[in-house]
Amino acid sequence: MSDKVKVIAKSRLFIKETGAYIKPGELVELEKEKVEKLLSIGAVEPAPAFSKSNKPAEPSAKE
Amino acid sequence: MAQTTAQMSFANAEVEFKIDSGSWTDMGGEFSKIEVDGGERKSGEAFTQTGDTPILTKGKREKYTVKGSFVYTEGVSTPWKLLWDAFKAGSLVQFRWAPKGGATGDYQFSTATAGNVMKNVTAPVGEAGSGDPVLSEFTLETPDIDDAVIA
Repeated sequence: MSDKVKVIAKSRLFIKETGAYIKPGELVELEKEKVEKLLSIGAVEPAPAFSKSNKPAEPSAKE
Repeated sequence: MAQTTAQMSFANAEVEFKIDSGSWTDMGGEFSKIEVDGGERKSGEAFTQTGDTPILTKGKREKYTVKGSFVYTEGVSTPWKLLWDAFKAGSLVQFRWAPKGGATGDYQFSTATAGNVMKNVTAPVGEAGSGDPVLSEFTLETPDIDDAVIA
């Protein structure tokens, strides 16, 4: 099974395996070898290491 | 600026169609030509007493007309039979094509997913003296054509 990488779509993407379309700005998980090609033409950009959705919650400040 | 080396012909294009909620059918074995007309944005103009040139206004975009030609073949699941039946039934037909061939990073163009009207699929006709393959043509109107990068 090939490695997958999370990237952000810069262009509208067509995912061949599923037939789904991804809008620009959406997060998508793709095979590493595809990502290299898509990065080279500027169709995707690397996703931040921690997005707001998966960043661990900050410990609440003590009063 | 350096001359491009990224040019391409349509020789390796991937062309597919889909009828209603069915699966996409690759028609590369029969496909011959695809053309697109329309899609222009409406505009208007008016002249004023003061100016020497018109003031322009922009409106909405027109529909696209996709025309294609393909080799007529016989059988219950050939492109001609599927498109002919879809045309007769008034089914939703979609087309998509990738000029470069459909690999990762190639661009793909697709008609709208709703609102398309298959205007015609021609019956097979010809003349006895011609050695040319019998071709059929289709005409599809679509509200829009979208582009995407294949991933």
